[in-house]
Amino acid sequence: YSPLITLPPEIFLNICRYLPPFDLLSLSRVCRLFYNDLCLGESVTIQEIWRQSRLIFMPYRQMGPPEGMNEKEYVRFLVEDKCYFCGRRNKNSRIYWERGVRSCFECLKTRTKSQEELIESKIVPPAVLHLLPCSYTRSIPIFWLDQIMPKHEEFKRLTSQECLSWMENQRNITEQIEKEMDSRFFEDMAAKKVQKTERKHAIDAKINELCLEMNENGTHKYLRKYLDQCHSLKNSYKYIRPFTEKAWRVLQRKVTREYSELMEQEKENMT
Amino acid sequence: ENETITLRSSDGIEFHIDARIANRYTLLNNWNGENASLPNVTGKVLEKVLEWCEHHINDPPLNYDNDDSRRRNFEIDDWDENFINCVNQDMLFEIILAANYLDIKPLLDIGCKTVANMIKSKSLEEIRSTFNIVNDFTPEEEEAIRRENEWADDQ
Repeated sequence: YSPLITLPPEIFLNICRYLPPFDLLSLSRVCRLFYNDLCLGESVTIQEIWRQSRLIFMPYRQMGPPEGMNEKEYVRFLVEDKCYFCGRRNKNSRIYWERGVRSCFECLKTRTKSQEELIESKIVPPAVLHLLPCSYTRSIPIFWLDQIMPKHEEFKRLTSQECLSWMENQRNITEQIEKEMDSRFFEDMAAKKVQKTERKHAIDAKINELCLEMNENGTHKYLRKYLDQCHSLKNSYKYIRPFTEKAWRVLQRKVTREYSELMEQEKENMT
Repeated sequence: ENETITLRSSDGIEFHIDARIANRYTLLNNWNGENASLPNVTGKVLEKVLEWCEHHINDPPLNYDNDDSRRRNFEIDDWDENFINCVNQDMLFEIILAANYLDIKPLLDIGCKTVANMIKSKSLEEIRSTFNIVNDFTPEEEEAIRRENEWADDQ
């Protein structure tokens, strides 16, 4: 028997309002009841719990999910660093809102072409390029092939009579998308900074705690100077994911192992 | 001399309280001027709830029309923290239920924040053992949900 399980729903919801998205995720994995309460279906209540959690604990993410994405998926989309195409985790992956994906640079290169290239090689007439939002990579406008090619096909099928009003229509849609993309892009940039700083603070707090641990003879178990040389630690700073307790347990294991290896080596070098 | 009213718990224990306490909270206020019976709250729980109310008797009235401002306050003050830490988990939930029933919102919020803090940063197993919850997923379901959530874990 657990009092938490038998709480009236409105009180359970009240408790959820104080939990960050990652803790909501943990809670949803505890038992069937919580999974149903937090993840099953698209009810207004479930959406509201995740939305509240995002707004309070990720205040740098004020914009809501794009069309077709629910709040929980949105949190994942914002936080996950996996490339949508190759499936690999990549710290340098970026969200491309106009395509609705997160992509690494390698996959981006094979799936897009620059505006210049498209025009020069006469793959697509310039008029069609104006009908789709472009992305920028290193300030160069690029287009997703799987967006531009179908649009080109559509364009080719039109009669000259249909053409102008179709283009006008498409242009309006694109302008709307571009406006939204701009705001999302700026939010991304700002969020990345905040997330990195938050993560750094969380890691540092744990490392500082670790540095307080003592050996029986009164010396420090770990010295910051050598901890900073551990690759796992250096690497950990580069991510933007929230630094959870679970992440710390994993990192601690790696860092302490690496640290003792490092110490062995140092000692060997001295003798 | 302050006016007092009498509250009777479900197990028949009587509490004589300052009428100002009753005036602060709508539901208690409804019984103002007469002896009230609270069929859903035991004496042990009512005693804790009233202890809390007495301490907060001079708090400024809260504006509960603005739900947002209430939600954004994550802090629990020292006295409240000490108050809530002194009770065991069963009592904590009893207090939450009583505060909900008696519509004492600030106390309800403190209880909910406390439970949330008991969940925060914990692993699944820790949450289960803290609240005595049985994992009722089948191994297949568990694996599916684990995969669904893999993205959230550091490697």
